[in-house]
Formats: sequence, structure tokens, C-alpha cells
Amino acid sequence: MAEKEILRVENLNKYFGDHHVLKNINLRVRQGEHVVIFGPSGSGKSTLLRCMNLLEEPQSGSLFFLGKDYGPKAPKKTWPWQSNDGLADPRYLRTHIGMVFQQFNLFPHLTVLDNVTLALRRTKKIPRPEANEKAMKQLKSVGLEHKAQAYPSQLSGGQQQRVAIARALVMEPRLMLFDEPTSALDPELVGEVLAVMKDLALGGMTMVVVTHEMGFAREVGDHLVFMDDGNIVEEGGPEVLVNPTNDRTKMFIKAIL
Amino acid sequence: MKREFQFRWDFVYDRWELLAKGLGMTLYVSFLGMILALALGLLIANLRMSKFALLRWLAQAYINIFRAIPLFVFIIWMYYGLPIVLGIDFDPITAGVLCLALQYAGWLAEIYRSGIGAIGKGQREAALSLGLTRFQSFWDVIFPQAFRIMLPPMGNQFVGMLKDSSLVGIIGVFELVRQAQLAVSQTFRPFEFYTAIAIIYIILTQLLSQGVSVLERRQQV
Repeated sequence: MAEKEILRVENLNKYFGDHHVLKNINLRVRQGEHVVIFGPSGSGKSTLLRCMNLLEEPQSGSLFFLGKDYGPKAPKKTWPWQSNDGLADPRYLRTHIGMVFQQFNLFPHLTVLDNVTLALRRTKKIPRPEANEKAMKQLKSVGLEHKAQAYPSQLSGGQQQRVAIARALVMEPRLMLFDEPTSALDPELVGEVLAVMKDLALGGMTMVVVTHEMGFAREVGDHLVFMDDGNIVEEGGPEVLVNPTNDRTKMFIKAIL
Repeated sequence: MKREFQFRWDFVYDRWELLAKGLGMTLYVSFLGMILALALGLLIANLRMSKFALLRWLAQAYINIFRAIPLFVFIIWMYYGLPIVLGIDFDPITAGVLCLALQYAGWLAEIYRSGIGAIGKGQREAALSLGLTRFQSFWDVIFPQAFRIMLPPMGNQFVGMLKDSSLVGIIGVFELVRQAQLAVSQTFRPFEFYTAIAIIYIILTQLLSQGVSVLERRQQV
């Protein structure tokens, strides 16, 4: 696989106070790749994902997105009046990386349609009619065009998460991050969200997914990463799930299957 | 023996223009004070939530000090004290409005802070993750949600300011109470005039809470 690299994490370290959450993490995400990160809670997998779009700022290391460093060493664009010359603009990164949260985080005061169009209108300055058109197409792709005028509180958890996915996708991101997207859902609603994610994967979207859904990992994942205590303990193709080499991985997989 | 008291509302009726002028001044001072307090309170609330300890400390000090000073003292101090100490000379209306605004900004800052604090950090993260600026995240996502929570306590503050604005009468701003005092000194009918302005305050407060309820209902989803 000589596909283009989208994201590369190099020697990344993250501390919360004295707690060393991420210990010298190295990870590469290539175009079209479906990375699945799994491991026990507290292993740092969500923090790693959140570092990828700078919701968490790592203390050291590099974060390359499309070849440009956004890590702590890179001079950052902090204020709108700064020129772009040579500065890493976290907003550029975030505009091109979509994120789906465990708790959906839809905007409760906006309709489903406005949830999906807000970033188009604000970030890309697309006028409302055109933004609405794009949003309706995206809502249709997750099967929720009939809910466009509803408010998030009127939807089921599964529907909310599908709207959240549409909200991220409408920005046409180069990479999608999923932070335990089904963990807050009733078991019967998990399927509809996973189905949308599978469609997305089949369509060639580059994805990094933190999940406990091992069925999904086996089916969709082509680069599996097992994390424990802030380290990447083991990584590889789907065979990691069948024949783990590391004892910690073996234990974890045995425990959850 | 019970003394017969005759209400003489005709005195009030004859001087309704005085009260109307006073009402206008009361509204002017309170609205201006409230607008300034809303803006300043928001600024202080943001400082209070800043990531820099010094700014947080300054905002907290502001809140502690300005909320503690009795408005009466503050107004006297601003109008009579500042010219002596610093040579800053305000006209009575400016001094009064400033005092109301500075004091209420402290209260409002705390209301802003609790309202904004009640919005989960996931909302801000979702907004930022979509590429919105911090400013857009605040105005498009956080503030509209916090506003719903803040509206009732802000309405209460406004009612408080409406009544507190009577204190600026002491430096010669002819608002409702001061006008009533003037009318009383001309007619010796205190009971009628003070009852009349009490009724006006009740009506104002009613109108205001009605307005807040309408706004609240419009915000409801």
C-alpha cells in the first residue's frame, strides 16, 4: 500500500497534570485507511483521537496533517488577524477533519438542518440556500431528510448520532474521527449508526474509530491499534484480533469476546 | 376617634406631567444602565473564565468590591468624591448611570458565568471541531443556549435596577421618586403621590416580567 499519508503522529506525549496519558505515540493514517483503536478505558485512546484535531494539546511530539506539522513545536495561528505565512492554523485542520462524539453534541437550540448548515455558513461562508441544499443531500445519505425541521431533542439517540455524522460529513472532510460513537446508545440503536459508518467506509472515507464494537472492527478495520496505559501495545491488520501476539492484547480480546 | 382621611387624587392628576417626566427619566436611566451593565458584565464574566490567573483574579476582585458597596454610598462617592480626589466631574445623570451599570455588571457577570458554565463543554468542542472560531463558537452555539438559562435572573436584575434607579435622585436626577418628592413639597400630599408612583413601579415591573416571559416562550423549543 503506497497510498498517500493523511495524518502522522510522531513521538506524541500528553500529560494531564502528573498523569502521563500518552507515552511517545507513533501512528500513521493513510488515505482510505480505516484505523480502529481499541483497548481498556483509561488507556488513552480517546485522548489520542482528541489530540488529532487539537481538542487536546499534546505537550511534545508532532502531528502532521497533509504534510504540515500542527504539533506543539509548530508556530500556531492564534488570532484571526495573523497572516497564514508558515503558521499552522488549527482551524484549517479542524475544517478538514470531521469529528463524531460519544455524546453526539448536537446543538440543541438549532434544528437538524441548521445543525448541519452552521459550519458551512460560518466557516465556508456558503449562503443559506446553497448550504441547505448540501445539508439535505447529506441528511438523505444518513436517511434523515424527513427530520430536517426537527430539533435534536425530538430524535432518538441513533438518529442524533446520524445527524452528527451528517454535520461532520457536509464539510467534506479528508478524515473522520469517531470517538466511541455508539457507546452512549441503546443496544437496539447501535446498528443504524454502524450501518452508516460502514457505508462511509465502503465509500472510501479515511477514518479513525475508537470503539468497543469488535464486530465492526473486524469487518471494517484494516489497521487495528491496541492501546493500554498510554502505549500502543500492538498494531496491524485484522489478524491482530485473531492472533494477537502481545499478552495484554490477548487478555483484552479474550475478555471482551 | 378616628380621623377621616380624604384621598385627594386631583393633586396627582394636576401634576401628572411631573410624574410623566420622572417616569421618562427613570426609564432612561435604567435602560441605559442595564445596557451598559449587560455589556460590561459579559466582559467581566469572560475575564472571570479566562485561562490567565491574573485576569480571573481581577474579575473576581471587581465582582467582590462593586457588589459590596451600597449603591447610596457609591453614588455619593462617584458624584461628590471623584471630582475632589481625581478631578473627574460627571453630570448627575452620567454619574448615576455609571454607578448603576458598574454595580449591576458585577451581579450580571455572575449570572453570565453560571449560565455559560451550565452549557456542557461538548458544545464548544463540537463547534470548534467544525472549524468555527472561538468567537463564533461563543455567539452561535454557547450564548444562545446560555441566554435561555440567564433570562429569568436577568429579568430580576432589571426589576432591581428599575427600583434602584430611584437612588440617583439624591444627586439631583429628577426621576420618578425625586419628582414625587418635589410634588409633595408643593402640595403636602405625600400619601397620594407616593402611592401613585408605587403603582407606576408595580405596572413597570409587571410589564417587564411579561416581556421576559414572552421572550422565554419564544426561546423554548
